[in-house]
Amino acid sequence: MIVAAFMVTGFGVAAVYAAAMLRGKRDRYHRLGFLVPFTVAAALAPVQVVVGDWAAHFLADYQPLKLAAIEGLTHTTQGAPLSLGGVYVDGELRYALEIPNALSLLAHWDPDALVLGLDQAPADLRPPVNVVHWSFQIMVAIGFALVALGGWLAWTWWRRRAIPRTRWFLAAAALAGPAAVLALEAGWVVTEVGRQPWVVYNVLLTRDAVNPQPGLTTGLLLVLAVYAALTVATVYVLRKLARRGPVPARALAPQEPSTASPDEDQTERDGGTP
Amino acid sequence: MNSAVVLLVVLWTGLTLYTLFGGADFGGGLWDLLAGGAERGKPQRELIEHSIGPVWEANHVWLIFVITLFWTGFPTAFAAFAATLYIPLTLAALGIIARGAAFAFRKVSDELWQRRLFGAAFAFSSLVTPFFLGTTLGAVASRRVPTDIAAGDPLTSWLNPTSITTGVLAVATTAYLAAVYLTADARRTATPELSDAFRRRALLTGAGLGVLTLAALPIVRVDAPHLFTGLTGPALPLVAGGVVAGVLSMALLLTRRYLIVRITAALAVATILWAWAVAQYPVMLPGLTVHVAATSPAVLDAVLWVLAVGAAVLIPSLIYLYTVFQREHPPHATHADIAP
Ligand code: HEM
Repeated sequence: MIVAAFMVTGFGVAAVYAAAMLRGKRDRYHRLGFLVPFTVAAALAPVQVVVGDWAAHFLADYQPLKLAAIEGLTHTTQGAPLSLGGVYVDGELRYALEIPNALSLLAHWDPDALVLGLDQAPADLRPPVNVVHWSFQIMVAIGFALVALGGWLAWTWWRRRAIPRTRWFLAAAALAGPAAVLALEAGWVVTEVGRQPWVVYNVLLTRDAVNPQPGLTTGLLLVLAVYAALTVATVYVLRKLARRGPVPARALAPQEPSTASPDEDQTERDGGTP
Repeated sequence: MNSAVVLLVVLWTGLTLYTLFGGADFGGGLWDLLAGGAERGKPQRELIEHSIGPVWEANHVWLIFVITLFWTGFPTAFAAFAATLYIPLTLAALGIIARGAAFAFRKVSDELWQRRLFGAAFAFSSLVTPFFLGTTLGAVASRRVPTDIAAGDPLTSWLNPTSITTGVLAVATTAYLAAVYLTADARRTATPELSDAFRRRALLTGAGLGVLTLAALPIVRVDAPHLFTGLTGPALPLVAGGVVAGVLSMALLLTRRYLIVRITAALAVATILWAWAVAQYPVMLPGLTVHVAATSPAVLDAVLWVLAVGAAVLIPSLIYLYTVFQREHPPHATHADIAP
């Protein structure tokens, strides 16, 4: 998650500058604003793949049911295939592209290893497969795409110390910001939905963990309302800050001491123009 | 002392720091609310904003620290506490979220109606959050949180004489601490009128806090007899120490010793908090002692080691953070933190 968080931040910040560069702002400020966070995030992208692989090994040993849901593997299989795409209907994964023995190889370093399927648990103790399977596909696809994007920059930088000339690169980089967020959310869906119906795997069911007090739904709605209001306010404030240009006079984080002089402050606070 | 008690002491130290730092932070919001109209209250609001600004996030880390330690170290007690008291805890959480967001938003808003809106949200949540947190302490102190999960009454567990008293005391404490700290901050930034204004408030709230505490005693005696017995028994020296520190603080405010009064005011508040702990020890919840509630020794020891390593990094950083903001003297911009 830490690596993912840095990736989201890096690609997210870089995306803002990539979008600005697409609109023709190619000065040093924008180039640096793009390159610094992008480089950090792109360097971490391969690390995330390794971490993800490690997480999958962990699942194979400790939460095999989640791994089975991720792969839509119904039956416990020796030499299990890796499934790409597909939909899970009536207890089978259909229309998926299968890579023979790849799952056994990835999960246990042995193409003929036994991989536990969903049938290890009774039907009412299995996670919903489609959500988990697809979230995983989305996360991994984005993960590899981000590695490729980083590789592209690395290549042109190595050849001629420059950002790729084509606009496609910047367009892809602008997309990489939201894509990284999507991968992050998909990752959490895999982790959390994939563990259902358990909240602590094989120890505590989610429904048994819920606070039995009355009125919890009201609390949830209240939290949703507050967060909705905060989201609106955040977007509004961020847009406002963005309109003021690169270094706005009052755009200080709350932890920075203000440098505005008292009289400047006055006019601004009255909402008037000087 | 075994590990469980050591962890309890660390937890209580965290709660004390949260009260002294986070509390003053809430109090700053309260004075922001009472500062008057947009024009008249502006200098005060500015002082508060600059005082809280650099450290407001750091101050609230202590709450996270306390909650995390609570559930790691004493999971059974935490589960019962959180399940029964979910309403005030949820409201306090919302208050903290709204407060932080509104504070940050106001800083970057430049239209009056927005500053008013965010300012009102900031000030209002500064008032209600410590109240809700205070009521949960009263719920525990008056033995209204049974050990079985969610066995307590979702409303009367925290809406009862003791809880209301502790809630109001919590709000008064935040107002008092903030006024005391801001008095010195205002003097350092060379604004004598502001400094006097906050001195007046510190005196007023200090007197109010004293009266409230006295008034609380008969309520506690009837509503939470165990607590009363403890407070007048093993915890009596601490209660007495708190009273002495409180009276001393008033005298120091009258004689304008603004820096020392930070320490004595903080001591007055801290000793009362510890008096409660001593009065109740070793019972956490009715029928559940610290030793029974504690998690396994393996976890306790691991947590204590992690805390020791973490403290080695955290404490110097915090001291550095606070001294940086106490030292610097820019010409216009006021600055400084709210901490002693
Ligand atoms: C391409 C390779 C990737 C692989 C093989 C991979 C694999 C995994 C696996 C197996 C899990 C489940 C862990 C568990 O439930 O214990 C997971 C969770 C997660 N993934 Fe990925 N992932 C990849 C890329 C990404 C990317 C690009 C991001 C975001 C930028 C991401 C973010 C997350 C997050 C936030 C979680 C949930 C938090 C956690 O369990 O730590 N992943 N990933």
